[in-house]
Amino acid sequence: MARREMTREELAALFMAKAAEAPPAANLILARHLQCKESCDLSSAIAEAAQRYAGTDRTLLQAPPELLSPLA
Amino acid sequence: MTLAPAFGQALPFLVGVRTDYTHETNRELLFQLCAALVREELGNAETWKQAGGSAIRFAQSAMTRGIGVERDKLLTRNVEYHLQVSDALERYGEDAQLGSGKLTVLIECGGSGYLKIGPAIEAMEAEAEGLGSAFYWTLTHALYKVMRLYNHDDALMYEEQMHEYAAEDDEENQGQYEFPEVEKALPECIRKTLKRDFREGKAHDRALLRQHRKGQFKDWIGRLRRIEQLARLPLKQSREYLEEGHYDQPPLPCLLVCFKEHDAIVACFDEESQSMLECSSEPTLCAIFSPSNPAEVRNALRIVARFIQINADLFSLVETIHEAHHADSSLDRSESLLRAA
Repeated sequence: MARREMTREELAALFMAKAAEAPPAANLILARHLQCKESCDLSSAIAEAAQRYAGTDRTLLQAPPELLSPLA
Repeated sequence: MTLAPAFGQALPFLVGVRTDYTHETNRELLFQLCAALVREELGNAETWKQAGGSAIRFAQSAMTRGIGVERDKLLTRNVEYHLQVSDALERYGEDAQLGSGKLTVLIECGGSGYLKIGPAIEAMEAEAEGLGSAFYWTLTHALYKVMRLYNHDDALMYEEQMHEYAAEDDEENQGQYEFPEVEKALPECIRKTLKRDFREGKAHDRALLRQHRKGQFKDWIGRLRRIEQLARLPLKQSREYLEEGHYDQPPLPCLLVCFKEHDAIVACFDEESQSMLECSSEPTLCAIFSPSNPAEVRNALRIVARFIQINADLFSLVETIHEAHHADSSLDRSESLLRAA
């Protein structure tokens, strides 16, 4: 049997119920990190480092020598 | 050639690693907004399904649906607007929370549209004396009610400012000033009506447009009439909140209106637009509402809907005028965008 679609009233009620719920723990942790200066600085530093790594071929990831020959 | 399989420990596998995170500060406001969008019939169960459980995506899709594909394309071709719903407003250059369960819907202009109205005025004046200027003034005054324009008025003010600077400068620097001579660049019918009595002029223009509403220019006059009617709707924005924002300047102009390509108005805009993005500007539209209050939601939606519809009518008129005179509006617009940048 095909599943019945939610009516407008049911969907609005679903959103209102979600609005009344406590936020999930993961959401709170993320929100706390985004409000923390150190966390924001750290994520910017990682993003910059990743950009620098991907944007140049000066630094190469070291492959384990006993399994694959180095690429450079 | 057979390649050896990559060693699992050399690079970590990305399979199963989340590539996006969503977090919602003031999530209760976001869900209340979603409920309000459903009540106003902008989003439904299908939109929610497509959003994959993300309230932000649901709200975005519902608002995009409200704008509509065709209007969205029309506006994207002609102007650059950014619509944002937020729980914060700018205060002294930084975001400050609105609080008390309020949200704001903002529309900001990042690149103005372009209307070269000279040929249309000329054609209308050839049909009946005063018809071109009646069209110009009626359009200008209707648009003034809902958006900032850059037109002959701004160019005249800029010229006046240049004269003041020159007067205050040392005598040996006087020769370095170039004045745009805006008044000379205006079509005669506009120059003649610059300083007329506002009320008398308005009544005269209205009568003339009514007289020609079934004539050769019925399409343009009909569209103008629709813009005028929409602009007259008494919808109050939350401008008082913006006064506390201490923005450096009024909103960026949504439309550059000139008479000819590269005329004195365009030259003034070129000069002034160079510094337009260097400081903070008021948003073009601002409506503050509580998502849990249906009357406030409806009022905010009406303000946004009116603005979008006026813009859709305006830019469809702009395209029709440009097409009638074989002007490449898309080329002109990208030029003006570059100027604004």
